Amino acid sequence: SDSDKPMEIVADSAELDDQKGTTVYRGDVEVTQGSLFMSGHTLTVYYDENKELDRAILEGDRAYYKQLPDDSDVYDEAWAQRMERYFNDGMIILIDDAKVVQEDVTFTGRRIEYDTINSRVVAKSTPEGKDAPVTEEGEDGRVRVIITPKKQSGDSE
Amino acid sequence: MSLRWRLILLLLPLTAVSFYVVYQLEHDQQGDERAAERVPDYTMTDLDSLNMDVEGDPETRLRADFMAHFEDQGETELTGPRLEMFRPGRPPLHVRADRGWVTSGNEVILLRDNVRFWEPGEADTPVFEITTSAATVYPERDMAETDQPATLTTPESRTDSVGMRAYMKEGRIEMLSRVKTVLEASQTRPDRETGRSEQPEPE
Repeated sequence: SDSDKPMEIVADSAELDDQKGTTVYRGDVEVTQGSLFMSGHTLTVYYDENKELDRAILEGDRAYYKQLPDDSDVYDEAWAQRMERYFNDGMIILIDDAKVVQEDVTFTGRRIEYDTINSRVVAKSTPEGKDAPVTEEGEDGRVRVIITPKKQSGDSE
Repeated sequence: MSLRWRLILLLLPLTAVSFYVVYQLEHDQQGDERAAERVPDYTMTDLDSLNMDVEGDPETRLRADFMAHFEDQGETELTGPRLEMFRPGRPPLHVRADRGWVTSGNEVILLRDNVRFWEPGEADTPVFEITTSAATVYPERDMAETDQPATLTTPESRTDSVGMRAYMKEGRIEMLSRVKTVLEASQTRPDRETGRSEQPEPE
């Protein structure tokens, strides 16, 4: 699977800060790992005390993510202003103007949690959803699920 | 063939030879002058010098296989320089190269060929290592930089960039352009045991 492959990060510049346990990549950031691809303008990678990868935060207008689920030949795609990827449990949290497309199902909302291991969307809006910024489709941050009806066999004639 | 042409044909090679001789003489003279300028006023083999700060704590240790000091430029030329930069609370940073120059006042150390910075770690695995072809070290500012391609290696990753700047005491490294990092799969696999620790956001 993708996580058995090395991860490659390219960017215009980067800064490693040993005391903060971070490496910040800036400018045309692209992350590749097998079929996984992410892009944005800033990526902050956090290491824990044992210098192990803890999490990575990708920001962009909007940051983009795509990955081929193990059992599918259609990419899952996602967009958000901020993506938090946790390396210990394979979760990605999409924050602000979040959108996930899985085959013909689209999720939008202010905050979406996506399980990259099981390619499963855990759609949850923030507790303070009421005063959350209005998303693109005019909703107040609550999660909307749009299921595109499959074409009936007779429809196309 | 008239006498005049025969004379010209005779004189031509002679002129060419004399020009060549004059050129050679001048060239050798310049060479001698330059060699005369570069005579060191003193030299040392197996140099080992320790710089201390105002409290008497070691700050930098500079060793070299051979060292030549040139009075007129106040410059020191080093063969096989090896530098240790001491840092409070951390192991010293090691630096080595094939060749080096120290400017007068020891403010700047230029390093050339097989330049390597590293912080020793356990079992011969450096905590980090930077390799490049040329670098400049500013001991008093605890900073070193290069505008050449450089490679930063840690146990978990390898990063290549063009241009790098290291702030030794702060433990900060800037990679200036065309950055590419490769993290081993073992680093990013979810089945590792690290928990989701809350770390402060960078200011």
